Amino acid sequence: MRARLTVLVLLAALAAARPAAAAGTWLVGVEQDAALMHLPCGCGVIIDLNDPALLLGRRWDAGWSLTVSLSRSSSQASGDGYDSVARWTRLRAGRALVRDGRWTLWLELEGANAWSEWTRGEDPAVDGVREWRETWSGAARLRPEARIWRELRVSTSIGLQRLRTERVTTTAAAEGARTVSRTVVEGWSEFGDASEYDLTFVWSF
Amino acid sequence: MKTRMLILFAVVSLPLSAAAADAEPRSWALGWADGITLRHQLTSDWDLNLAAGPNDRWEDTTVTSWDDGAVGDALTTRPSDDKREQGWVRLGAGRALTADGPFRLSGLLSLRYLWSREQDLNQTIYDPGVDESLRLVRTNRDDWSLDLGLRAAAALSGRFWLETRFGLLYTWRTTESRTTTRRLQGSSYEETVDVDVTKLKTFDDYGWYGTGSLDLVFWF
Repeated sequence: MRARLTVLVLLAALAAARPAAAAGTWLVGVEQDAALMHLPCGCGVIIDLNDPALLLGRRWDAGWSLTVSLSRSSSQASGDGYDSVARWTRLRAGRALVRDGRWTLWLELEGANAWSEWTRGEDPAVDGVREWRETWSGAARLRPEARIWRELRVSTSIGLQRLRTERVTTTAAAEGARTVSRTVVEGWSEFGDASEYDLTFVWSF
Repeated sequence: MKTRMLILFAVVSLPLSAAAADAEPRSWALGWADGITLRHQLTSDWDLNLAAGPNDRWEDTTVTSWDDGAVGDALTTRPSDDKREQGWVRLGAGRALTADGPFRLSGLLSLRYLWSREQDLNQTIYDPGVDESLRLVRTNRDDWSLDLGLRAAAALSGRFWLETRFGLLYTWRTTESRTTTRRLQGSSYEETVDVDVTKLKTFDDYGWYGTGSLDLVFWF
């Protein structure tokens, strides 16, 4: 299902880009969530970048953009005996609000899906834990972007989002006891705090 | 927290734009100052700011336990339903005090209102209709804050400005919490209600380590 969604998103991006192929630029880059360390001076430095995502997109001279970000990660631990896999996809349509020198302010509308599964135990249905989680979200982002060298640009974003996360955890023990926990979280929120923001580098050509 | 994020942009955006002070004056700006912010330049000295943001949350959880692996034969079910509707809006006026090249200093007076409506519902159902317990906590919170401060701004280009604010903040907070507990055991039914109202006034300064903000503004 997710693979189909990913292909669909890519095809949509390419289809939207084709008619104006001569009047814009292509984008390729990387997008990451980041965490910050606070220093006594009150400033911050990046100490952790995680969930890197490949970003592909198209920008038109008229000030529109369409990008898609794809990320996948998985891990296995033989000692603790767990497996995890996570994927997320974000599709964004953007409009340049202000251009000034090397600065551009973009307004973006975004739809995103994140999915992950975590299991522990050889057969989680009999004796172990299985956690499945999926998030659908929509967001409006303000993205200040600076061109820092040739066609290399860096940006971050702040804005509002609406998300819905569903999480199902099944815990089974060998003697037959079983617990199922289902959690749904919904809400509106701002984002842009240190634990949530993204850092994006793109190269246009 | 946005402070740290935006410092990254301050670094990559150097040097400041000394020509910004001579740039064509503009009337409207959009940016981020604790939340989405709209600014209107009323006169050459006065500006008006409106900022707002939500922080809602709804969490619905159901935990069901079985002891024989057969769905439909649950030992206990523990539903919980937690909701929070929260938002804030701030209206403020700024007055330019001085300017020097790419730097500007303004005085600020703002009024902020924050509201929060929260509900935490936790149930335990041992035997439906026979043995159940419920705890419901409803909390309403209203904050009014008066902010008297200074805004220091630096132009990165003609249209893009970075700003920080510091000053004094006076807050009045009213919190009303109502806790309802119910227990059903056979034909016996008990309910208790506890209401707690708290009024709080705080007077703080802000704008330095840990409480500073770094805002960004784009002028149209």
